[in-house]
Amino acid sequence: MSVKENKELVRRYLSADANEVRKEKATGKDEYHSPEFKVHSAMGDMNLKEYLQLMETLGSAFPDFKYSVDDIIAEGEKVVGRYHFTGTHKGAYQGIPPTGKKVKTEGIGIFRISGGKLVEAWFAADTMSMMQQLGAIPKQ
Amino acid sequence: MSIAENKALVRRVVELWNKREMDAFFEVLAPEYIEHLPTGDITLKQLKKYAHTFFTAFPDIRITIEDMVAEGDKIAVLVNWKATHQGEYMGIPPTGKKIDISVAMIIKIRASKWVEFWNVTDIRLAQQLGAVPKQ
Repeated sequence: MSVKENKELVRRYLSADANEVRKEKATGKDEYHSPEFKVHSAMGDMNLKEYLQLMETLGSAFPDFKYSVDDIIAEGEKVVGRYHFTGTHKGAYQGIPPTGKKVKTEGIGIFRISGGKLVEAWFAADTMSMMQQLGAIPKQ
Repeated sequence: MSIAENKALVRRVVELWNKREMDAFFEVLAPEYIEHLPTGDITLKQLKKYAHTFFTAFPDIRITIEDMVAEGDKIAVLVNWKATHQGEYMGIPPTGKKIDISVAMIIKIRASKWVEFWNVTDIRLAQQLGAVPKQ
């Protein structure tokens, strides 16, 4: 895989929406993750199964969620994506009952790619601002 | 600036942070420097004030580079912070708690100067300070 192909993979990955995630779940087709995919994030370290479970939870909490890419930087086997997440809070999330609020949060993800699949990801996302937008913690 | 030079510049800045040589750090920033944070953009003037608050809140902070990914005039950096919370930060009074988190940032470099910076504040910091419960 060239750096260009790696960038394209991450660009598609970080443009996913809830429908696409539901479709992948239904068909069992996964064009992005390697089976040994590992995530490092504020939610702790996750394996592929745990991560897909989280995406499913996200899909029921924010049924219209959408990721969008703001910037892509790549070198060697790594690709970094700066992205934002938008969605309407229609289902329970992290113990917060649905508020109907529209949220927007930003994140930076670093991905390691091997054989055309994501094998490792580090996420830093402003989940703090997400909790503030949902009114779960006070704004500063 | 080559990618190798941009990486060397980032390594130098992290060294300056760890040595608290803030005047030398501010010299690396272009006059038009902008920092993009989830809470809004801040200018060089605002950063000078904020940096002081930050290093007073975490006086023993030790920053290490975990990863760098560079392309063109941009460089993404994953850094680890280890610190003790000893001064007021974002309205949270000193807790004496130990912080250990990894933070991702993206820097745009032009002619050996930092011109733009993107960072997202991760909930882990607030969690480790006990300001919000752990998930």
